[in-house]
Order: sequence, then C-alpha cells, then structure tokens
Amino acid sequence: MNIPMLLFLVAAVLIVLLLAWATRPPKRTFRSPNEVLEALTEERHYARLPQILQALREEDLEFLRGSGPGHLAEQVESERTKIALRYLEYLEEEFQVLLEASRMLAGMAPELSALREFDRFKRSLMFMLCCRYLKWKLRLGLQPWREFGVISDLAGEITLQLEAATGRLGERAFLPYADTGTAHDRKKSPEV
Amino acid sequence: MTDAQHIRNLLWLIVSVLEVLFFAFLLVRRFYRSHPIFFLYAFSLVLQTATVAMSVQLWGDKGFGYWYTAWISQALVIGMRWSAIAEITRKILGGYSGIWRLANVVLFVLSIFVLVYALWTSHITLDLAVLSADRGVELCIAVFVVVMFGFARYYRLPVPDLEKQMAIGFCLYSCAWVVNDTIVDMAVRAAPEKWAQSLGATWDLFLSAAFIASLTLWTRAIHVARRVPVADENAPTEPVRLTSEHYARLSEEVSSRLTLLNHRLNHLLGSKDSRP
Repeated sequence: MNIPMLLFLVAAVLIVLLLAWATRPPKRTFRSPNEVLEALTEERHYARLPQILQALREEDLEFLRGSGPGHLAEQVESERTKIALRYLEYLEEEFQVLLEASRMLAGMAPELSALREFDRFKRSLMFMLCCRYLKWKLRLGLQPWREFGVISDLAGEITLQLEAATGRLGERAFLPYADTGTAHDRKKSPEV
Repeated sequence: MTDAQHIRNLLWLIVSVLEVLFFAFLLVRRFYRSHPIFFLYAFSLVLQTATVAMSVQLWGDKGFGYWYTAWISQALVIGMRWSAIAEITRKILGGYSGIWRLANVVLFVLSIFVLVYALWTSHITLDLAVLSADRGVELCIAVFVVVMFGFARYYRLPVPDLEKQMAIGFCLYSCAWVVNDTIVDMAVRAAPEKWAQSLGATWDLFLSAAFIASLTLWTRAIHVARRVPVADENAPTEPVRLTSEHYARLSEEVSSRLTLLNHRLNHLLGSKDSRP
C-alpha cells in the first residue's frame, strides 16, 4: 500500500471524526445580547493578577525557607499554588465569556475581516494551550512568570477587538439606509 | 451469469427502488418548495439510474458507451450534490451576512486547495484518471461540509436539525466514496483481473450500504422536520439579529464596559511592568 493512498483513507476517517466533533452542541452559548451584557458586567478576575504574581514570588518562599520553620514554606507554597490554579480557572472562564461575546457580535456584524478572525482563533488556541501549560507547570512546582503575562495580554487583546467590533456595529446602527444592511434588519425596522 | 454479477444486479435493483421511493417521498412532502436544489439532486439520481440502465441495454456493461454514460452522469450527479450542499450552507450561514461572506471565501479557497492536492497526490494514470478525479471531488465535498459545520460551531450558530442531518448524510456518503475509490484504485493496480471477476462486486456492497444509510438519514430528518410545528421549526433557523436601536444600545453599553475593562487591564499591565 503506497503512502498517498493510505493518506486518503486516513483523511476519510479524520473527516468523520471531525464531523462528529463539529456537530456536537457547544458547551456554552449566549441566547440574547442581554446575556452577553450580563456576562460582561461580571467582576473581572484578571484584575487580581498582581496579587497572584506576588503570591507566586520565589523570594517570599526563599525567605520563609531561610527563617521560618521548614514545613511552613511548604504549606505556604502548596496553598499559593492552589490559589493560582483556581485563579487560572476563573481566568479561563472569563476568556471564554469574552470569546463567546465576540462570536455573538460576529454573528451580528455586517462584515468580518478574515485576518482578524483568524488572529482571534489563533489567540484562543494559544490561550487554551498556555492555560494548560501553566496549570501543569504550577502543579509541578515551577515558576510560571512569563506565561501569566502572556495570557493576560491575550485576554486584553480580545477585549480590545471586542471594543472595535462593537464600535463598528454602533457606527452601522447610525447608517439606517445603508445598502449593506441585512434584509431582516430593514424588515424589522421599518421606522429606521 | 456469475455470482458477482448476481450480487451487482441485486444491489442495483435495491438502490434503484430506494431512489425512486425517496424521490416520491420528496414529491409528496413538496420538498421542492423549501429545498429545490436538493429535490433536483434526488431527481438526478433517478435519472442517472434510468440512463445507465438504458446504456447497459444498448451497449452492454463492458462497452465504452456504458463507461462514458456512467461517468458523465456521475459527474452531473456530483455537481448536483455540490449544489445541494451549497444550498444547505446558505440556509445555515446565509442569515449572518458577515460570517456568510467570510465562509464563502474560506470554503471556496479550501475546496480548490483540497481538489488540487487530491489530484496532485493521486499519481494519475490514464485508465484511473476518472476514478482519481472522482475521489478528489468527493474529498473536497466532505471537507467542505466539515468546515461549514466548523464555522457554525465556532460562531455558535444554530443549525436546524434537518439541514444538519442532510449535510451529515452528504459528508458520510462522500467519505464512503473516497474510501471506495481508494480501495478500487489500489485493487485495480494490484490485480485487475481478480478485481473485475469477483472483488469489485463484493466491494459494491460497501458503497451501496453507505448510500442506503444516507437515504435513511435524510428520510428520517425530513419526516421528523415535517412533524415539528411550523413555529418551532422556524425558531432555530432564525438568526439572532438586532434592530438598529438594539445595535446602538448594545454597542453603547458594551463599549462602556469594555473601556472600563481596558482601563483596568492597562493599569494591571502598568503595575506588572513596574515590578522589581
């Protein structure tokens, strides 16, 4: 059996698996814009990053190891790791909310930029991988300083993109007779 | 008549009867109103069967006339299948103008890429050229459907069950064709005589089973969709869209929240940078 032929068979199996994945219902979806707003108004966890970074500082633990009882440093390290892991879970959830909101806005947008959409897709993948990597690093007792900065940047950039998207929608809302408006919009808003 | 021919004839008969029954089912359900291209696709299947049967009568199943008729009609049926998938895609994504435009470009480019790649890697010889082209097109259709579902999932778009089942049926059938063409390709290259005598007919079972499975899936989906009350049936297909006033209000509220978040983030990033 030659390799190209084998690849065709593998491709067919892979497509069936991808089909099974793609037709599964998503875990979380917003049903209305109000839900998006509600989610966006919730408290942001990434604002706690400085405290988390402080909690993970090696210097504090070194100080405890040097001057405090032996078990105290270990206990502090274990508790701080747990807190950092919980923080990461919240951060991941927060990022998902932002991503869901941006997807919903994309559904309403009159046009999308392929590059920007690809960029966001890439970022969401990176965020997910970074989070997993960080969790494992924390569990193994390593210091993940740089990665915390990276995921914070990713969350921030998604936020900026959301702002730009909603800005475009806002601009569009004030162009009631634009030719590019959807038929549905025109039908539903005869007064515009 | 050999056993292999018996099997082939029996399969042909079963599939032909099912095609006619399915077309009649669509006609009774007046499916041409909501899905005209899919309806035409079903009609093209019946027409293909009739044309091929006539060509066998005229030239026998070994003649060039039969060979040309079979593959030309197959090309037309694949064209109709592709059009039916495009119709389903428009029904799923068409309501979202931004996503629809983006998906059009991505799906078109991807389809061309898959087709070119499939043909390029096939080591086409003259006798297997049609088979390789067929495999390339089928692979292309399967990838198209999966990426279309990927779009719907990524943007959390509601996919009506009818369109979902129809697209799944198309994708599975195309995958079956890819597997079929690949196996036939390998078998014919390895032992053409053996393939013509016995293996070919046995292997036809696989493709027929895949076709019957797709027909069953479509029939069930159309039957279930019919039973759902009109209001409920329309509910998932209606995209979440806002009027201009809603856009303005949403935009204003979200922008203010995001600005606040950005300020917090900037503050946060600033404090991180100033760390010792």
